[in-house]
Amino acid sequence: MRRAVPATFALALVAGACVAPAATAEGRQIEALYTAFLVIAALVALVVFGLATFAIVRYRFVPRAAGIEPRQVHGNNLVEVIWTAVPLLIVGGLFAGSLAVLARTEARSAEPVVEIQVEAFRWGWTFSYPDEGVQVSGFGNPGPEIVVPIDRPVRLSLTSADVAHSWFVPRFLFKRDAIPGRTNTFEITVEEPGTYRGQCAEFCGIGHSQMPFGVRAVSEDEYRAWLEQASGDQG
Amino acid sequence: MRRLLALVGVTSPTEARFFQVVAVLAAGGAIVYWFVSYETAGTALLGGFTLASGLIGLLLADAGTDWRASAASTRDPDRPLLDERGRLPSPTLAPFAVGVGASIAATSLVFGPAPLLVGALPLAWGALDWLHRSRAEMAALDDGEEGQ
Amino acid sequence: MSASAGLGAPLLVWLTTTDHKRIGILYGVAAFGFFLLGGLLALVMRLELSAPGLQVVDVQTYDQSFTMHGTIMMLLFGTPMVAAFANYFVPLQVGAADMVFPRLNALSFWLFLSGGLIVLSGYLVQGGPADVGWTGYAPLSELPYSTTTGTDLWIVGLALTGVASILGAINFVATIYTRRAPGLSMFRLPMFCWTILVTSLLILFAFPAVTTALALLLLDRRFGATFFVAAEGGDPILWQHLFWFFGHPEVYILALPFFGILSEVIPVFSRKPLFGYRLMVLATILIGVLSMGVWAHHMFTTGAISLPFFTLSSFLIAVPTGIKIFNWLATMIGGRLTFPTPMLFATGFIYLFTIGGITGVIVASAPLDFHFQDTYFVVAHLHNVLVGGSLMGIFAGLYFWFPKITGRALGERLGKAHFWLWTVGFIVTFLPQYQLGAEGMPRRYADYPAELGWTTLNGVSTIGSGLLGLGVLAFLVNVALTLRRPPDQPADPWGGNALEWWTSSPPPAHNFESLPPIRSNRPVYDARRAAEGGGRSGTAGPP
Repeated sequence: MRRAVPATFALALVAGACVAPAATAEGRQIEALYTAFLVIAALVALVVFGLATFAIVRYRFVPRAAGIEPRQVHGNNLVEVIWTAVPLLIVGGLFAGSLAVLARTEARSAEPVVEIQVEAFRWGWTFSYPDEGVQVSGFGNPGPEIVVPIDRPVRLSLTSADVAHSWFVPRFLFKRDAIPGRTNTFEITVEEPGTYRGQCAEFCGIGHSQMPFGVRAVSEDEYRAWLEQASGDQG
Repeated sequence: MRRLLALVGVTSPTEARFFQVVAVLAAGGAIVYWFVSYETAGTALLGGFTLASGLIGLLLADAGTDWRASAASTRDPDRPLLDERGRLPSPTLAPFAVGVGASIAATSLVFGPAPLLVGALPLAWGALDWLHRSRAEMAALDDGEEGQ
Repeated sequence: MSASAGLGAPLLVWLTTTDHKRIGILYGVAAFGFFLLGGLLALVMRLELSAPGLQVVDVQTYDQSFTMHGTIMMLLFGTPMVAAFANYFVPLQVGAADMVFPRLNALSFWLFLSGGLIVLSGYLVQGGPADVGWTGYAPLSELPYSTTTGTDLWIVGLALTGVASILGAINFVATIYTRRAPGLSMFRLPMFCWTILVTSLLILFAFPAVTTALALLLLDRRFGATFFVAAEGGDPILWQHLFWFFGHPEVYILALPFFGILSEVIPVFSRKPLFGYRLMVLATILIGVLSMGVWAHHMFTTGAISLPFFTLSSFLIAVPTGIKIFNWLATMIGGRLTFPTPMLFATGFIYLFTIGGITGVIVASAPLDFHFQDTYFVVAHLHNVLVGGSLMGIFAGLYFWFPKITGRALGERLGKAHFWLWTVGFIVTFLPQYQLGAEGMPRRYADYPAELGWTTLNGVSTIGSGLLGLGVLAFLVNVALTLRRPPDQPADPWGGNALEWWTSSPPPAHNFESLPPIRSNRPVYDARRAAEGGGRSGTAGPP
């Protein structure tokens, strides 16, 4: 029983908290980094749980040890240096990995194929394609849906009309805040065609959970066709 | 010279060195932060942290002989225990009156001047009573401990 | 304190007291009262989330519930609980008769209690209490978006509790610095005192930031200022900087003291000194200073901060935290371990807090946080640290020191039931939330669509929260039953190390009739050895 509990913890850590497979190029990098973190996390957890369980099982008081005082060890410089240095090396490695992925998520291509301006409001979204003169706006369920081409960098510029919101698509493993008075720009490259549900992730009042949106990723041709139809509707 | 050494932490007691070490680490953080971000709010906050902890560290290191003497005496395990029974304050309603009075008064920021009038009374009474008692105790202490 | 009849006399004793032990008890009882309220709010939220749709409360009530739950647990329960332990045990552990400023100490408590009640008084005004989240992000907390007077009361009340915390911190530093017993040098201080010293440092330098933020917000809301209004030249990001410059150290204000309690409990029940005392002191200071430089890891998704700086500084804090965990394990290894309830909670802390620490490293990585920020992963992580960490530490401390405070030991059977309910309840409640967050369920949602597949895990989590509630119930019954018995505990029921175990249980008003010579950081252990002629330590362990 006592050993079962820590074992369960370790298993939960290794198996648990799986993200859905990423649909963007950037998201795939984040997913890979997360997997690496989970492996290291499981190893660290195994070491700590292993040592703790060893201590509990091996050094538990037994009656025949009554009256015998354990050796009064006050410390050991060597092991203390080891468990300072090894974690330092580990976080150094994790930092290097994080920097590499950041370089990708923060990268801006010279000429993005699609530019979309996003304005969040209580409680919905307005998406504009300034070059194409298309605007999609809506609130409530299912909310507005935008269409983007696959395998092309899409640049989104994000701001808010009122309070802070956050543009979050779980399948992209990515979110960014929409903050009044600021414009946040980021790029995504969807690699897998499909429709992805997005939602607000920054608490913005009573409609916070009721402002989803959709991102439909399609082939270049379908995207062109959609643009034509949409601009025709609005023209 | 000794004073200078104390100020830079070489000979200052652990109590002062604690704040000095914190200030040095905070200063390092503030400088690095400024040069990686050029962000003013965070740099100002870290700078404030550095200045405040550094100031406390310097004041403690420079507090003079009183501090040193008391620091030395805590190192002597055979010094008799100071009996502080007579020095403990007697029960008093003053902190309660000040705390509750000030809190009621503070709600004036929300409800307009009425709570200020309600809170001012216990606040004033508590503050005066507090001052009065501490003065009396200080006087008694001066009389009683001339020799020390 | 005469045994006069009537209700007025005992009430007056508590209202007029300046005794650090009584003030500590006042803090503890008041904080625990707030805890029960915050816990009830949590249960209401868990019930609401157990299935899609709105069944229990409406959205506005839900929003107010998580606002008040967070505010209460962080600032009206956690922080004052630290003050409760520190008030009672810092003077005892340094061998002093009281704090340096006993009346200021009483003032701190009354300011905290009145401030807390002002925050709660939002329930009495039209519009109800604050509905802006405990983080109060501007501009959502500005008047056009949060119209209830409850939000103004929240601001005023929190500012008052902040002042109370700052006054308390000054008092703790001054007491540790100037009231130590003969022979008690800084490097012989019990680890609990060191953690309180560093915690006080954090309070001194972090609370002014949030007090400033609250003052600016009140100016915006009531007096037409525009500090956080972007359209008028204000900056919403400034609120986040000021809030988190306080908010992250606050997390360590709620962690370090309980690290300190673990460093007291584990050596006693391992019959060994704390492993690597000086490194532990250094790790405490490093955690404290680093915690002042990680605040914007809460702002990774704002696009307004240096991502590498805050990723690295947040990673680095894992190193001194790891040192602490390994030093506790090294204290246990080679010891003679017994597991009465305080040690059970301490051991449970090591397991559960480790998970929280590891997931903390995950969300500290900016690119990973792009996914996990504001999802249930973060909710699970922070409750992992606070429930699996701080609260386990609080209960370890309560079971450990209850005999000292009341002269009565809490029952072991109910204590063990409490521990297992709490541990299993924690796992069932919060581990599913990691998965929900990984699947993208955002926090602060009163409702979620059925088709996203979040229903089962939410149901499991709600069941777990019921177990946590039962655990607290077991604790309350235990306290009630124990307090009915006459006091019977000796000065040192566990075979303790620090000075609080030298004086009677409970201690007299002036704390000490005498003190043992202090030549190490375990004076009571030394005295026990000397009394036994330096031979085998025969101190009876707990049954």
